[in-house]
Amino acid sequence: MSALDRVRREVERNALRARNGIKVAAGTARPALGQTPKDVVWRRGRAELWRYHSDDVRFQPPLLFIPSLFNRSYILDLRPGNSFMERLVGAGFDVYLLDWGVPDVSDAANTLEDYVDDYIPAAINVIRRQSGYDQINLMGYCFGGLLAVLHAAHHPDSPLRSLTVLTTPCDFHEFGALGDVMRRTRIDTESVLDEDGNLPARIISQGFKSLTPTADATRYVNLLEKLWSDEYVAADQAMGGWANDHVPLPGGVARQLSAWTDTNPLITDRVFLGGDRVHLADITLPFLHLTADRDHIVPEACSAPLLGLVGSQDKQQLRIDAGHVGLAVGKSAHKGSIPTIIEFLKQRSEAVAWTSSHSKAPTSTRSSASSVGSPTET
Amino acid sequence: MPPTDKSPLRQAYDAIERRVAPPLTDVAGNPDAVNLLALAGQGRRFVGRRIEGVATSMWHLANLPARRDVQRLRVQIGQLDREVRRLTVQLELESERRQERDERA
Repeated sequence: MSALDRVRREVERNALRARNGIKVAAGTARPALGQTPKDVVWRRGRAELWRYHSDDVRFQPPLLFIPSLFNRSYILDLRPGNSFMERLVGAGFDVYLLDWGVPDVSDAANTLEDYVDDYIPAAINVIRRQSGYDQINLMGYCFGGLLAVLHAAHHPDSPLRSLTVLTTPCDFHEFGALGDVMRRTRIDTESVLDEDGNLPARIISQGFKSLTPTADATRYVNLLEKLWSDEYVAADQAMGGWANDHVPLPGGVARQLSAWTDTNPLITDRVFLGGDRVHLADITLPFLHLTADRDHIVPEACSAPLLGLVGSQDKQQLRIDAGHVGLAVGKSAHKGSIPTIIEFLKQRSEAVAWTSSHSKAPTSTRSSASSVGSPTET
Repeated sequence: MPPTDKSPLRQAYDAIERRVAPPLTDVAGNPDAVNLLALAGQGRRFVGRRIEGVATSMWHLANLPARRDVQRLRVQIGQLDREVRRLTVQLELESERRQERDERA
């Protein structure tokens, strides 16, 4: 490239930097998120069951995705072309997602049992009724994976075909820096709950940020460097927006998890839910667990023991070269984790000849994806 | 040293970040620092509660509900809401099971 070309490129880039800088500063650079078309097919409290539109369902049974309780679920459907849900729908699955919404004072007393014994079974029933299939494939991400695992263990008769989880915490003594702090500081959980009785989103956000204190500054430096690129700015605003967009954690769950960092019940096989002792060894479903080797939120040491605790004969654990979020978005997801999951599910599903017409979703409580809007509004 | 295409500004930031990140991470993960922050938070809440207590007394003198009363009501309504929600879900599940049993019979 000649000196003149370099100068011309820099002039063009500076013009783009100025334009994008104004958009970022004005807050208009954030792209639309969670755009894969879907319907709300069931709702209880803050929770909603979404069914993604598809005119080309090629595999059954349907797939139910359980997101984490700590963040918004739109990370799973970030942007067109970088969406986990879009890929699953495109692969021919009938995909549902159980969105938890934003907990408020009504959810303060929610415990793990609310999710594992009430919401997930209710959602499974709705899906069975809607799809006409007796079984479903269950999948969970991060803490949603833990809910899925606990459901499968507490309800061995649940009509599940398979269980797939991504970077699911299991050994609560190996939570890395965050776990160390929680164990060693002995901060009383009650003292950090807000007046609604929930663990505030602000504290959750601060906890995650304390793991990488310079991450925000590095993000802004990267953005400054690549401010000329519309694609980079859109990706940064989408991811950065999500990373700062936590939701409160119900106080009941916060108390249980705080106790678990001491007792480590999954490892010691001392899990109690609703008064019942729950054994992960009771899970006998085909099981897939994906861990991320650069995960600083749920380190591999925390997630990896899960495979040994599950009783399934057909079980596998794969280590993906990615960070925590990289299992769901970005290149590592689209080249590593998502194709692996799709292949696992295809092998445990039936190919179907019929074409779904549920894009019209006659049973939905709302009629179009646009009515759902951005998940940030849920 | 291998050649780099990073701008001088970026190189300067990377050098600073490499020096600053480890001690910052140590501080953020230090139980004493976290305890201190928690203590400061508790102190702030204690003072806030005292001030609110005075404000509550004033509202009560005027025979009006204070913020604390409204909050207590919100919590109670929230608890009721949760009970109703759980009962609704359990009823739905039970009715589903009954329907399945009937269909099998």
